[in-house]
Amino acid sequence: MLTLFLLVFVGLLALGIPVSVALGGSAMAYIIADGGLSLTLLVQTTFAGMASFPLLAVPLFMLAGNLMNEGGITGDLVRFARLSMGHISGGLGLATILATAIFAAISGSAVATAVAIGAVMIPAMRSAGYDDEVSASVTAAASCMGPVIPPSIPFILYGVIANVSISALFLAGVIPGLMLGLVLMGYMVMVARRRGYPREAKASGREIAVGGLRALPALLMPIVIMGGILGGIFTPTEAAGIAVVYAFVVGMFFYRRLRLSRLPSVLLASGVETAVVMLLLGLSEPFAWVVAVEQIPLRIMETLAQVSTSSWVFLLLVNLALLLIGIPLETAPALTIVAPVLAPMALKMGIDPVHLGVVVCFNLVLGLITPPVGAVLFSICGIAGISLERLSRGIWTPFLLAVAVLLAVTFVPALSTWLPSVLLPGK
Amino acid sequence: MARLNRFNTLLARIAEQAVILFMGIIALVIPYEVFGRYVLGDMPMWSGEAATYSLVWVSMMGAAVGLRKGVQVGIGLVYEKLPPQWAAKVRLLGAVVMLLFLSVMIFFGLQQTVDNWRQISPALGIPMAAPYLALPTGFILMWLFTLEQTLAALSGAARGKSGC
Repeated sequence: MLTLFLLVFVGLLALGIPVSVALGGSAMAYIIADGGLSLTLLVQTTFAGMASFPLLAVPLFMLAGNLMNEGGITGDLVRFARLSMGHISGGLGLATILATAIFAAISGSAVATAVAIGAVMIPAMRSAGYDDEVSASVTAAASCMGPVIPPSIPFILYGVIANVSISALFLAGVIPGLMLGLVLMGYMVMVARRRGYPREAKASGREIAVGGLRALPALLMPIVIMGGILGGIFTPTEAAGIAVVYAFVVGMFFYRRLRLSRLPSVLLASGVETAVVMLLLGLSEPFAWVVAVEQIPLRIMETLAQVSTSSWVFLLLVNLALLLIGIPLETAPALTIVAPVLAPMALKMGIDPVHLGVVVCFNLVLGLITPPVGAVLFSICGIAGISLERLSRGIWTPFLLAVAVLLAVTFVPALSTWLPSVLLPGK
Repeated sequence: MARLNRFNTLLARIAEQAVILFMGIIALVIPYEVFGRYVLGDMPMWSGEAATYSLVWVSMMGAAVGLRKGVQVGIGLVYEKLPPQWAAKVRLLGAVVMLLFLSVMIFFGLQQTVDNWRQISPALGIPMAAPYLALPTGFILMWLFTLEQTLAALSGAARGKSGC
């Protein structure tokens, strides 16, 4: 039975059909082969997987990010980042990373972050004399902060699948996300010094202050979101709802660039982005059910125990496996496949579920920039107008730096667990 | 084929309107819930159900729209590496499998909807058939869109062959 289930699943993936259908299809094959079960189960679990209150945070954060972008926040954000960092060596690159980090605290998606910032900064870096593969690869790697710094769609999905507090996951992502940004900034400065990239004129304090004021609504949004969750005022779903209202008000009355006539298309785009993730999640429910019934996590653990019972070895193996899975699969499909398997294993091994969640999500997000395929790579190629081959060559150093950060987060649990333990005691 | 194409374009347009409507409901109901809880001191009973059922509709209608736009991705690596005549066969097999899977989901989705006709949801007081109906409806749209894409790919492949 188990063999049949796994064979069907791999076979369906190989046919190149949507991963969601492969998830549901393998569960369907299992139920048919079992004979004693009704296929109604398939519909019931899928429905139950979708009709979930915590998952409402997904459409709302998607919508909030899109509304902010539509309202014209990105331009002011980038200007502020340039004013404050432009005069340093590699300053435009640093400004890109800073703007990405702030945008990451508004948006939960790496691709949205890459597109919004890259579209402005890559041409700017080009006209300042930066090599295209440097500017494009730094932007691509930096956009991985998007889903690591809260809010984060992968953390919401992981929290729902593995039954871990989404608030705790959000907090746990802050330090790893900022570490990634700092490491990339260090790399940028080194490259800029070696290649002699120009600096921009130093902005006056007044200019920076004015720029900061214009960017203030974007800078305040993370405080609204995280402050509300931390104060115990909102659930993550409600915080996402408030973020939508905030983004709408700022876009309409502060920047005044949001047009009411554009609202339907913003709703539609956010809805379709949501649906792709939701269909995966819904159809992964029957899949996860089979995984649990067949005790797949236990079986893998028994096999693993013959090699080692150390949780460090386990985490290292998890990282290796996920980096490989991340090459062909995007973050959300990979998460829906691995989270039901990994979460119970970690619990048995005494690994902090929040720590594992950060490691798994961070790792799978890096799959977006591993050549030869990755959603961020594709969208950056389009924006920068360079070939995938050239970007793939340039991405290796930033990618390996990101992997180094991932390993640090893996083997120093405090990097992820410290912040939630201080700010959310008892979770 | 042209008729299916026109029909599907119409269906996709209706599905898009449904996505906009239900996204709008979610975007209004959740902030209203927070407002009700903190300002009015009274949490509306129905808001959770209204929003989650809307989410089911957004998910199914949006997934169908996304399928037609080609944003539902699978692993393309395998058949991109195959010789073209094999790749076409693998693709066709994939389409047949998808149509079969969707047919089963439509059948049992409809059954579940009919079974829940008299079941009333606890907070909103509407038949549970209303949210359940999203599943078969979405899968029917996906079925039609998959058929359209497969027919287009087949006629495209045939044309490609004769062109050589």
